[in-house]
Amino acid sequence: MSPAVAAGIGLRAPHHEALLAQRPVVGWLEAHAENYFPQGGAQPAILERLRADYPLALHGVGLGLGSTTPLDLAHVARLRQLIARFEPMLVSEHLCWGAVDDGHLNDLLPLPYTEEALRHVVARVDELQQRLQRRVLVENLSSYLQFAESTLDEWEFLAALAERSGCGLLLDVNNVYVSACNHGFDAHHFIASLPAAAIGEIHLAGHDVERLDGREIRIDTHAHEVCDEVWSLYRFALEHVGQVPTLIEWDTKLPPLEVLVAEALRADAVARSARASVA
Amino acid sequence: MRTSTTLSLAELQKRFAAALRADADAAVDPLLLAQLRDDGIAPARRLALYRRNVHGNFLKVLALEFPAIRRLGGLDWFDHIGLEFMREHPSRSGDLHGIGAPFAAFLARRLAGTAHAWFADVAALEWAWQECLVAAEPQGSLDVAALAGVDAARAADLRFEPHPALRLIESRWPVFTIWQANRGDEGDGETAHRDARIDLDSGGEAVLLRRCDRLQAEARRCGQPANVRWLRVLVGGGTLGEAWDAATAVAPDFDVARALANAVSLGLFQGFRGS
Amino acid sequence: MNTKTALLAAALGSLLAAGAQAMGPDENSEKCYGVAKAGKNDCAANGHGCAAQAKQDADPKEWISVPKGTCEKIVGGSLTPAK
Repeated sequence: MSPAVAAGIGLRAPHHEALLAQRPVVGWLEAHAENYFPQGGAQPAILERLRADYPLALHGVGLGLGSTTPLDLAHVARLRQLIARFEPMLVSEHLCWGAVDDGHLNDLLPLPYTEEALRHVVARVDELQQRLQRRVLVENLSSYLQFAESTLDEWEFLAALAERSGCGLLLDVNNVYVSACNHGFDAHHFIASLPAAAIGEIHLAGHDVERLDGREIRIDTHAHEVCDEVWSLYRFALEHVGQVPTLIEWDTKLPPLEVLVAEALRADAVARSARASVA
Repeated sequence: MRTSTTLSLAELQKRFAAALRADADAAVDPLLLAQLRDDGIAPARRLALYRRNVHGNFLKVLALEFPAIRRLGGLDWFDHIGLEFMREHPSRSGDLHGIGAPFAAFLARRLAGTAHAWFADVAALEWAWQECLVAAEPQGSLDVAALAGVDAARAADLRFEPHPALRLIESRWPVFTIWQANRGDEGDGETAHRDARIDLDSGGEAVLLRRCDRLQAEARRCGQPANVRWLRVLVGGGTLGEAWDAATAVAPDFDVARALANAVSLGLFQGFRGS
Repeated sequence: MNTKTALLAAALGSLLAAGAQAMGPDENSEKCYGVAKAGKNDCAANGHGCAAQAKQDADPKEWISVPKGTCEKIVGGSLTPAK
């Protein structure tokens, strides 16, 4: 099995020591790009050492592709330097916005799915890809509200974005499931409606359930193992998409490294079984 | 479905952002609420989820950067003052590394004239530590042989280029002692001197922060006034002669050979230039 | 050559002799080592885990605006210290 299709894990600072000492057999690592924006110190030094042993993806969390403020060229330039230095196999960002004229909110905020927003994001992704001189993957969010003015479904928006900008898609299966539960759409239909060839990466993570106004709402906390429904949806996605690099993400209540490695192995097992059933 | 009051994308984001920054108990902009689908959970409660996350993200990063201030002020006070700070100094980047930069000056203003005015100096030390941890690597290393061979007549005019991670913090309060007793581990752990009582009037302290290598940084208290003055001039870009003047003004027997050898061995400088 | 120039020149000249080796803490100094223990941008990733940490801001503003932490262990500090 080539390393590029064996699942990877999200790189988080509390795991640095264990990763360097144990060098577990995972397919690849994904790092949050902005953590490496400062030029010196421990974070880039550790990433350099890990990069020698693992394929790497850079996952941006702060560019705000849907913000209506001017594209932050200093941010793009830093990203470009990181790409030149660490030579990642994949570079991704989110379908979201995060800043206004008087500052950044540093959160992944949902867009209305309108023609206006689509034109705006297509232009921004186009500019980003030109400045980086490479294809970027754009990830679907978990969301907790919808805009009344939306005229497109989220999957229609993503498909049109990929088609018009030439970007790839990062399919976060947990986010699809969370948003499907929160907004009452069919998660399978969402995935089946995306252009399979555009999907270059899959994310898996765990989430939480809260109650608001007596109703359940799912929150994308990245605080647990992947749930059974998301494993099953992952298998469905693989049958639609084929084999793409899959990542286990965990951010809150981070468990020992072994737990993430076990989840990555489980993703590999699901991928093997999906491949066998397609063949 | 379109509402009669559809906003432009920019206007929608502006109102959305204002609602997320506001206090949890502030009334929500009705025009914004009209943009949200109402399907079983009140739109204002859905917005509150995002607000909770935006506030939580900001406070969590601020807590990582200022663990001693958080312990000193208490968790409730820290969250309260942190949100006040967020509204006055919103993040200016999609990279969260810079949000704490104006915090010490904010506290200085906010706590001026109170019994907690010294918090600002502890915050300045914590921020300098954060800068020290991530500052750029030096562009080169000091050429000691060339330095030792400098013509004697030019010695007083030499200037050093500080290592990018070098910081000197001076306070009229014992900030290093306070910091050491309260920084904990990411702000939550226990610290050895946690229960020690510290006398604010026990005298000021100066702290030198430097990176030992790419992975480690060090903070050291500088006890002797002459040494503090010597370092202040050199870190500030003054000449060797000016540093000597400053140090010998308070300690005529200042051992300049020892002080210089120490500074060089600690890697405080990445280069030097003549007059 | 005056005393200052001579002393400075001698200090520079002795750098090689001293080998510029680490001489250890020369005075009243304390050390602490550390590296960043968390990526500051992890919180802003697509997880909304930080949500669980922020509580509802419903406390009375008066008491919350006064520090109540371990600063109670810091004594002294007249507002205009004699200098």
